[in-house]
Amino acid sequence: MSQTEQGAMELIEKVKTAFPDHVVGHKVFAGEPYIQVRREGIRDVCRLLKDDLDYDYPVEVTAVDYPGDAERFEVIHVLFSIRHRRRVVLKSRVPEDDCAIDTVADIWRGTNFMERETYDMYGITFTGHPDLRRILMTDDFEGWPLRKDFPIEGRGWRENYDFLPQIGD
Amino acid sequence: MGLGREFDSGVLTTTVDAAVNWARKSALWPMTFGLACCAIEMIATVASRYDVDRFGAGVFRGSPRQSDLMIVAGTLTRKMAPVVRRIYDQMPEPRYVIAMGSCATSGNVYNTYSVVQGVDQIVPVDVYIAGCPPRPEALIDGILMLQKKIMEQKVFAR
Amino acid sequence: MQATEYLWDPESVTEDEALPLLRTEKLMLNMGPQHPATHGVLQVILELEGEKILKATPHLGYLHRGTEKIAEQGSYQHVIPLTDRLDYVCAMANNWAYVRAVEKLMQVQVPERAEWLRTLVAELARISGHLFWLGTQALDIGAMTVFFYTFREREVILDVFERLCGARLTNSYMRIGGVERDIDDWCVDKLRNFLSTFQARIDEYDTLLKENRIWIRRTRDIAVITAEDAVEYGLSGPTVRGSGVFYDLRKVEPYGVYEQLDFEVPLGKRGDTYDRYWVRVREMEQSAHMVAQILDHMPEGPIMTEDPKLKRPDKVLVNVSMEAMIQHFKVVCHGFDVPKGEVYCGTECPKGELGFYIVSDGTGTPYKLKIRAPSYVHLGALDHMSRGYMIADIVTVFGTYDVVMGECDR
Repeated sequence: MSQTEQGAMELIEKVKTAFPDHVVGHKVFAGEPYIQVRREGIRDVCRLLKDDLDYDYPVEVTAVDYPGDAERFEVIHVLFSIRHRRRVVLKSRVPEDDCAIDTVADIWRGTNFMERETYDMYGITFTGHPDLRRILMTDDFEGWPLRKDFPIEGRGWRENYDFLPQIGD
Repeated sequence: MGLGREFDSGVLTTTVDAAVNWARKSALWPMTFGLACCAIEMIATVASRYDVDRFGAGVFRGSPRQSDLMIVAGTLTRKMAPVVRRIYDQMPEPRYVIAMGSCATSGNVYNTYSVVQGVDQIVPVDVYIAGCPPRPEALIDGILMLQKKIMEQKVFAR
Repeated sequence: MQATEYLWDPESVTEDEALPLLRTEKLMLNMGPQHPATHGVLQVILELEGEKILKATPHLGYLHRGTEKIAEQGSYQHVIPLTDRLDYVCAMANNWAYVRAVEKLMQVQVPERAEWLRTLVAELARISGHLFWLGTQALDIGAMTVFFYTFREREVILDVFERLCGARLTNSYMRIGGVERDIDDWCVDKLRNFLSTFQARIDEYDTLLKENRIWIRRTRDIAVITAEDAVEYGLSGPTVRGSGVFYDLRKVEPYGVYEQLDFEVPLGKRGDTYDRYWVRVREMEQSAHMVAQILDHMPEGPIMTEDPKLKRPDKVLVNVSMEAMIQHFKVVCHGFDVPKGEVYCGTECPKGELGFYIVSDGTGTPYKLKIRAPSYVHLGALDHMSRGYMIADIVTVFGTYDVVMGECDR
């Protein structure tokens, strides 16, 4: 295993020294650093990781829904550095009433589709995204499927067969 | 099926019926409509070991206007449903539909917001094949069952 | 006799009103969700100028089944059959990706023999997946013979899977903590027979394709992507290795028994379709080499961890002993609790890096399960990869990405 606790702590220290206001928490699990970042600072941290620390490979952008918390959503960015063989996870909290966070689609072009899916499933807007629209559901779908208050069987969309020809047409 | 029902059922019409039905069942041209995992088993049925061309159903057409069998293989989602209906409408009669696999029959374990619980909500189905995915032998069994069903159809006789 | 009357007098047309000789406009062509290419329900809206592609926009979601939502309802074991249906061509690899993630979160130790068995079936799944890919890519480009040959090989592997776990295609073979059943001599003999002829088969495919002028014309310099772009788009698997990037999770973050096996990772140079084809065929050879090594060196031992929360007791004991019956009941009906936390775990599947991001709240149900599917990420680069090529090449691009809509839409 090339990822060690020590390497993880070094990375956390580097990010903390560069942006002491943006980093609000950290932990290390299984040799990988998890850094809690304020959502206003996500672009700066990502720029630092890409340009200076060689985190050139976007692994995942997703979100988790904690309906009981004050800031309901937690947006997760998972990044990997091919040269150093090391992974980092950034977590940023987003409140429900101002459900937006900056996009990183211009930093890594691969996150374009990942952010669109997070928007489609959770309703989190990524400000600055070139083409933010639904990707897995239809454009006229109402509701955000992966939120915890959305029922698994949906709200009747799947039984709406208005495209079927009716008797008498 | 609409070819004139003026004739009484007699020796001549039943023989013509049998001939027409035999011709129809022996050259069922399916359309490539694989949606999900069952499509892989459908492709395996066409491939070397379970050659479905022996039963006449090996010429997979790309266009619905040239085919008479639609094998819906895989999960049907609500986003895909209008497409299925449109393709079914484009097929010329006589046309048949086989629902292959549990997802096409009833939705399988996917009782979720986007999956249509069975393709028979959208198009009329002739044969249902259970399995997840059904073995190629099961698909061949379904095609043979459909062929038996076609032989029992009345074309000229009343 | 009067002169012929024109409908319009050619002399009367001035420079400004001159009719254009050739009117050009962009054509929007819908390559709809149902199409003869065998890669599933993917809709691509093409903007064409003549036959050249100016822009290709993929529309996904026609197979979105809500797997992640279902995972939030059941227990961790219930997700294993759902992971089969993601990349349905090579289901063993998906199973392993998921159970690895849960084991990483629970910090469970898997016994030695189970790791060898998992590596064995994962490499067999890789061979099976690449054979399927080769057959369908060749079929889409027009070489039908290869399709029939590769499926003949693939059936042998599916027979072994059926003997091992009961299902040909969607095998839920792995469990959290080990594997379900041990391999028997029939399977080992069948695999040894298969391996003895497999290299000759690959040479057969090479004679049909590797230096075939038509194949080279259709795949050389088509869908080229540079190494920097491939990494920035998040491509993985043979798609990125065709551009020369050494990113193979089996070597970069070894898991299973890959550290003890001797294998190479083929890398391409130019990042075009031909190089990705070459990488996949050589990967098949390497996988066959690995399977031979595993069959020679697999140790004896248990196939499931001894942790009573995860292991089902022997069936004989369940019938006679009360403790065994209670343990069996708890494992099957209740499942197990996973400690609170979150983890990301990526595995090298035949299509690319399949990752699971699992958030656990301390109960037996996943709080969140996110599936990082390689096909979904690859489609983000479809537009970049297909601009400037002809419309006949769009089918080649589908094939070279090796997109499977099951894992793309989940």
